[in-house]
Amino acid sequence: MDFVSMGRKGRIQKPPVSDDPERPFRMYNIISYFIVLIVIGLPVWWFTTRVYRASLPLDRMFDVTLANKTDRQFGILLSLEYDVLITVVNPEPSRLHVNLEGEELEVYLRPFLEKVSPIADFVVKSQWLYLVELGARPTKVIDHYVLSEEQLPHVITPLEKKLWSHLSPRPCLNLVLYVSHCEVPLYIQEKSENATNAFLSPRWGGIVIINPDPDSCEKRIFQPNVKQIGGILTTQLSKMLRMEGTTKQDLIDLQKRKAEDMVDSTRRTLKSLAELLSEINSIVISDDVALKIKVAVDNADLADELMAKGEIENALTFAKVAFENSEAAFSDASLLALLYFPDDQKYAVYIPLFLPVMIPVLMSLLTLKKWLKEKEKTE
Amino acid sequence: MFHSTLTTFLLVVPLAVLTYAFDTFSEELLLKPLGNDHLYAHFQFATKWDTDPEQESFRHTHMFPRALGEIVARYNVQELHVSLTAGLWMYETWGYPIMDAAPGAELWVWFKEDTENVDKNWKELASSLSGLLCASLNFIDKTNSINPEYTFKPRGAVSSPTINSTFVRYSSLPREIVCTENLTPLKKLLPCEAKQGLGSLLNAGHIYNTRYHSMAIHMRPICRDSSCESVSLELQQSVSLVYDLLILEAKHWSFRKLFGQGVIGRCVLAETATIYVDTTNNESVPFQLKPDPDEYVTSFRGGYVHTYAKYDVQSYVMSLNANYLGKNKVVLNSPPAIYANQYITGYGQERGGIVTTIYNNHWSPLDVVFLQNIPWYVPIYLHTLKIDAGGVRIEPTRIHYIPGRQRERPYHLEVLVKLPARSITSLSIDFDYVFLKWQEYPPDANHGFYIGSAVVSTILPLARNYTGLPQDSSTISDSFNASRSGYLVQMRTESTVITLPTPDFSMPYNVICLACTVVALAFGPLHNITTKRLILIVKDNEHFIVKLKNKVVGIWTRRTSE
Repeated sequence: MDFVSMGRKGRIQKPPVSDDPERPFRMYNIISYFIVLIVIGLPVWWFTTRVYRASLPLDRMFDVTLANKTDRQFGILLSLEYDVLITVVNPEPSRLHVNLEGEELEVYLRPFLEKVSPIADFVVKSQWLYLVELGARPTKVIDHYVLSEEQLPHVITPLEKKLWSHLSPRPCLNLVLYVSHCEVPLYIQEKSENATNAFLSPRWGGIVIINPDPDSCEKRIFQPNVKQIGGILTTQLSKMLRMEGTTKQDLIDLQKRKAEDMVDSTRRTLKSLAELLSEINSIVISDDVALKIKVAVDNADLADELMAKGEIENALTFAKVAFENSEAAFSDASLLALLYFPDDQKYAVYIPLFLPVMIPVLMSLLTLKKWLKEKEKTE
Repeated sequence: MFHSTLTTFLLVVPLAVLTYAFDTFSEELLLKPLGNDHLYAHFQFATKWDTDPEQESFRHTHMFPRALGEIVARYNVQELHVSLTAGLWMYETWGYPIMDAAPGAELWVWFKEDTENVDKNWKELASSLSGLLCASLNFIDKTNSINPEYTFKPRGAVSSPTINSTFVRYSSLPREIVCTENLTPLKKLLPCEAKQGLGSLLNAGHIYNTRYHSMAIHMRPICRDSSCESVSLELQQSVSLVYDLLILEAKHWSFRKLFGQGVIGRCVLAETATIYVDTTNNESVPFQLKPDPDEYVTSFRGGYVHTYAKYDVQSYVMSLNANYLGKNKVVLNSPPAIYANQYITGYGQERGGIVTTIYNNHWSPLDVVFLQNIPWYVPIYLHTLKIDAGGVRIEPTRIHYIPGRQRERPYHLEVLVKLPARSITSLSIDFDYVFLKWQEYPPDANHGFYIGSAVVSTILPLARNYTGLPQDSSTISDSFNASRSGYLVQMRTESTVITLPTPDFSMPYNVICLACTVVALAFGPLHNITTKRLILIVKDNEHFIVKLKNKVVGIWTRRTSE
């Protein structure tokens, strides 16, 4: 330790630098603190506390051409299997007993469903709803009642609340048969010979309105024309699946459209996942999610190649694989494992440790700079 | 030629093979005054579907709810019993309910014999039911389920006389709360929903204003007729309520006070819709019913006579009123043949005990089966099991015990005991308090941990205070005049709460603060010593205080010298 005397004003006079043999060692100390804490410590802390992300082919996920959204017509959800749920609605069971069984309708739908089976599998279910009305009030026209076209969307929402939920992973196509009240014959738009009295919501399903004839009303038992109903339902299903006819060429067209849709959906999903990853820092990508994404990207490209060559069947298989994998990767639960541990909480935990440590180290760098300048001057 | 005959054959055969199974629905309400100031209301909705439960795919349903049918089909369920209860049934003063239920949520299921992985089906079934009923049944898994050996035998028809208890699972969640969210799905499962019939009386604002409320769904295969050559599927939905008339301020009760409204018409899909009022005690506590009942039904059962006033639900709005006549009387309570209580003994956080007291008021000894499902965090010691009847130690007939493993399975204790006549028997067992890992504590850790209720089962020879349904029937009217050789009673005791030693959850924060402070305090001087040059300064100037002191001393000496 050196002694220094203070003058009258109390100014400290520093002893000369030449008799300070420990100065170089102090400078080496500053350098070593800097190296250990900032050069080694900070990167180690950063890597051990970051959110784990396995490597992804991000450029292949971003750099895709997607089909224009307006070109795609709205239709049912994309899937490999569907449930067809036939609901028979009888609003007044006390006055009319409807003699109809779900199994009969299934028998009439089976041929069509088997023809479409290369595209998707169908499971037909049926149920009955009683004491449920249609949500819209029809207007009376002479001797019958009419629902206008604007009222039709309002029919679906209250009806959907009554249909029970499903224990199946497949999306559901709802076909509702509404048997109207006895003295209230109900028609859509206008009464005409060719009208089928049915309407379709491409995304949800179809509703068919059946009017019981006065004879059945008197006898209190109504036997609907199952063949006619089966035909209407088949038409509705084919419209929902966007199949024009049932020839072989139509089937191939349907397969091609399906494969394109699946590849497009895969690419869209992966692109939005890539965008999310760049925006939100706390999404975790585990190794098997990364594997699924890679499989999806590879298969989507392969399906494209095969479609260009014209091998539609093989393309559909690969497109299915790509679609499955992309959906599984996007909705995997492990992605959100750290979602509620945002970055600012991580910093809040570490700042009371790092701040009092870093400030003296960084301030002592100024002393180091001065010493280096002096060394340059002397050399 | 062959082709066309083949197609006609194929068209004809399916139509012949498709046999249409019909289902029937019936609804009933039983009102029974309990003692002086309580009223027991029990709604019973039964759907019977004449289909073969083994073959049925549940894809085409009529009045049987499709949502429940899909769950049953998917998980290969033979029998399903789920109940959600709030409140305690006081056996001592109220007798026996039509259906017993444990406080909270209780689920027990028999799976079909060809089920491959019962545990996996059990867990997924609990999750599906929790979605269907809006209850947190998804907490049921292997760590709190047992397979009871003697207590829960199949209630429905079985195909073989030997029963393999590896296909049954039982679990209860005593902490579960019941509210409107659970009532709405139950009402939706009824064919008429809540628009017509007795379902319209189920108004959440009124029926949850009760001392005890329980809703249950029981599904089982039953014999189609007395010869039992074919089997049908039966679904029972019930809502049990006990009203405290003093709280309602309604000594003279009526539908309006109990349910807020009368019955809106009759459910057209129901085969029978009836209301029964128990008038057995009309001599001791007389009351008058308005409107007059359609008829009076007398039931001789198990040596006891009950009379019921019967109403058929009409297609117009109907409401019932009861006027109590005469002065208020206090009715002496005669306790039922058997009832049980459960409580925790011990003090401190090291050791404790669970005691179940069973009161046998019957004049002959009774065989009972005692089942307790104790969670894994309450380790019990079997060697401390003591059965004491009036001071005399008795040995159990049989003990079935599967010890639990921490975080894997609970403690399963089933004891078969012969209770002496007219005695008070207590079963006691000791346990330790354990520490849990800090992530295993529930959100309100100091509330405590629940130990589920015990199940005490016995077969009574007499039917005093007994309203339970006989095993082969589904409606209340079938229980009239239904004398059998024995009457099954499965009582549930109270569920108890213990406080496990709770850690201080603010410790991680404290540790972070302390560690950071220590490091910061230690690092500062260390850094200073190693990187700064220390210079000692000798001061010429005096300290300010010393200067002041000298000045004061100088003034003082000048004063004294003057």
